[in-house]
Amino acid sequence: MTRKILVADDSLSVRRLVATRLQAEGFEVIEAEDGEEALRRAIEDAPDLIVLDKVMPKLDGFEVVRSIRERDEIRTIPIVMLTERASEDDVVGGLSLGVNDYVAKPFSPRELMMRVRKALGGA
Amino acid sequence: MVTMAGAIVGFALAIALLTVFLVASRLVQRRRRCLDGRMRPTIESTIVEYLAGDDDEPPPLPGARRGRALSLSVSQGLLSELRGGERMRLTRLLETSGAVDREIARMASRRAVDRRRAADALAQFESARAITALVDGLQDRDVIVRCACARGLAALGDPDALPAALDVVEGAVARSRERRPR
Repeated sequence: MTRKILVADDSLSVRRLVATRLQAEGFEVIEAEDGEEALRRAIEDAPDLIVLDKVMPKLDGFEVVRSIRERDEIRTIPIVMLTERASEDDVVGGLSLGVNDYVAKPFSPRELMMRVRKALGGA
Repeated sequence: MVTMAGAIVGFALAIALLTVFLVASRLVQRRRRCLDGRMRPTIESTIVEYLAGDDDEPPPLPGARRGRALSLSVSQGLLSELRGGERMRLTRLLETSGAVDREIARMASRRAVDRRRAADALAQFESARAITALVDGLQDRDVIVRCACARGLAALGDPDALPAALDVVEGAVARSRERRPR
């Protein structure tokens, strides 16, 4: 069965690049350009994993994580967070909210793919 | 009386001309935004597909002025977000499209602001030619351009260029201390 991944990032270029990479690896991709849309798509589509940018309009990445972890039906979805810079506060704050993994920007899409597979329980 | 009427007519003409100019410039800007909005998705797709793909041959990018500016803008947005293999591919694309050479040429501009902008752009390209241009820019007559080049070399992390870059920054700091009123 094809696994579904939600990519939430306000940069269209980054979203497209990550989506193209994921599609090439056989994933189905849905996209969101802000925090509110990310939360809505997470509730409506219940993806297998979310790649979430921390800095987004309307709803910050941390707020999205908090809202997801508060909802029983989607609280177990693994989340890989993209951050501008993985400062200690960002990492600790995110992990305490339930982020599964971090990738600091500037990022390598190949590294992101590895972390996605790892978060999904693959090799 | 005649002079007064002439002044009023002149004033009205000036207002009319100003209005025409403002409306025309608004229309030009709107048309430009419209064109950009149509071109940008195509340029974005071309660049992203090349970065995500396996093809070694970079695709052609638009050659017209607006297209070149948009390609550079999309690329710069991605350069600030990426590292690793995709960043190297993007640099190669910018080299083959002539964007790196255009910024190097801009380093010879008479205007310091253009040279500073070129240095900032070159600082994003992990290209040997960009590093050479930034090293040359450390000798620029304008201290802001020299500092931009030093900052760029520090960002690119070229170890051979760092001592010269540090000299420029230290020189700028020393000069600013000398000028500061006691």
